[in-house]
Amino acid sequence: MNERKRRVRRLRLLSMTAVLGVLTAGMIFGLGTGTLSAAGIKKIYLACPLGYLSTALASRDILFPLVICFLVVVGITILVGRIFCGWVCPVPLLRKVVKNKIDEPNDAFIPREHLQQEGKHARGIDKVTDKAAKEESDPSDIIQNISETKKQTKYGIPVLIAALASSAVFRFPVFCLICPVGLTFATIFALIRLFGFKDPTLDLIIFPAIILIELLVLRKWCSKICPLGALLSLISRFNRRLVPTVNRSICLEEKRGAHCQVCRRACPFDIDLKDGRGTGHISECIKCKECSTSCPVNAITFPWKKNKTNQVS
Amino acid sequence: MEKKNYFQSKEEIKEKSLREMSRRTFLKSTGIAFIAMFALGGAGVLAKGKPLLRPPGGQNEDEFLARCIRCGRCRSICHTSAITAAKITDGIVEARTPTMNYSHGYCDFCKECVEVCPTGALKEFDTDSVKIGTAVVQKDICLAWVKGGCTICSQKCPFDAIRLDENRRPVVDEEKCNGCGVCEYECAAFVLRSYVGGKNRGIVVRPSSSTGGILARLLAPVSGPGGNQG
Ligand code: SF4
Ligand code: SF4
Ligand code: SF4
Repeated sequence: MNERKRRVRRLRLLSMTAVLGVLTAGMIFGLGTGTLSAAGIKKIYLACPLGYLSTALASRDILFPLVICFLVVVGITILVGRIFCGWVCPVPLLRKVVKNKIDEPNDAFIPREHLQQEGKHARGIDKVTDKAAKEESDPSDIIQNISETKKQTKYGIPVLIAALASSAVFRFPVFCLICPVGLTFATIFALIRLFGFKDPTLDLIIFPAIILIELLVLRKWCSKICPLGALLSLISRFNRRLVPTVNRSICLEEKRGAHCQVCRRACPFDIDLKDGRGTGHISECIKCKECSTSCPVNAITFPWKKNKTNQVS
Repeated sequence: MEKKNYFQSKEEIKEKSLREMSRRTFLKSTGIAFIAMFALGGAGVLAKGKPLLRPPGGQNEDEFLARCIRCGRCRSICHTSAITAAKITDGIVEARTPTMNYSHGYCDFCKECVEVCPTGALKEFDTDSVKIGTAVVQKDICLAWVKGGCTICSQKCPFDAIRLDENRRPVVDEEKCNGCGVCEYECAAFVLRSYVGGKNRGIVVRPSSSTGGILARLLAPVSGPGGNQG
């Protein structure tokens, strides 16, 4: 792993830890800062957009001050995309702690040799991808595999629709019950309760267990299942800033006709920045910078202003 | 930079048929997602726990549950630490929602929790008429009822809701009591009995009868915003 990649990953973990730390301190010292479900000071706060939609549907009310907050979140997401997922949400941090991997591996992407050996099977790719990742300076003989597309169906939108529909029917925000972000803070509170008030609760076992299921059993939580991610992706379709952009005049593929594809392989969402053939769509980009820090010739940038050329729609 | 394609390549035809397949998978996954979320919602409603004491302004339980996103801001802002989070053992839906715990503090109706609640789960209330719950004397624990002599709660009650009967034992006036929890917080039985391992207080605040069962919850017409007392 190169130094730049390590540095960006460290920065991301730092930013997630800082957010978690500040909110935990707020919890301990009773500052009313809340959790990521709604965080802020006094009447100024940002709230979870999925929480907003769920409670609005459950209570059949537009929830007056909160609707403004929702629009602000929409605005921020249009401006900077799913930056929340890559830099704020504690789930990648937990993944780092539990699996020592900050992002989900890109399984959709399969090196050619492996396809020939194993007859297009999706299992056991992790090893190969890891190996390939180690040899990232030797990007040869790699193809994108369309036949994997069908196995990579996203559940995010269905889960989002199902979460909203069930909230409307049962009249409470259903997804909140199993939201890994909410449960992370609930676990922290259970710990505070244990150490601060000597009050051990079953929460301490059940909440982390649900998070672990989401991380370990539903391995593709962030890229394929999370309804909050899906909602943010829908909004990010209008995101035009900080969009990873390949400078085609430097890219090895364009310039030397090499079959590089390192950026796509590095992307946890399998986004193909150049011709959009990956199973991920550019609106899903979480601004993790894995692509740009992997590119052997530094061809990928995150421009604040859109470049006239070079961009995939 | 787009290249125009005049002929469909084999690969493209394959890709198209795979897209059809992925539409089927999409439908299937939609089914799974719906089953999962509706099972969760249904389980939550069916496994509804015992009524809980809510922070002031959150007394209409159905309205409250429809709105609370379990963000914990109310709990964290409470300056007497009277608000805690319900545990998973309190119910699937109830878990993590705010509930009163008068062993750490009591409610002085400062309305800070209402101010920070983002969703209106806790609504603006009238201090004179709000009622979090009603205090109930635990006659087997209360020192005055067991052996006499203690009058702490009746002295401390800010709303004169506890009178002493002919044997100088506390009796709660349910009309006047608004469930602030001062009596429970101050109750001496806890302190005295804790030497022998007792955890309970001689007077505890209980939720007033709460709204709705499962069916009522699903079928009831939606109560508009503003309706406070259920
Ligand atoms: S496109 Fe780049 S920045 Fe965006 S998610 Fe993929 S690797 Fe991360
Ligand atoms: S502040 Fe409101 S939404 Fe947040 S936990 Fe308290 S009652 Fe629920
Ligand atoms: S809860 Fe106790 S102290 Fe508060 S009003 Fe009722 S009887 Fe009085």
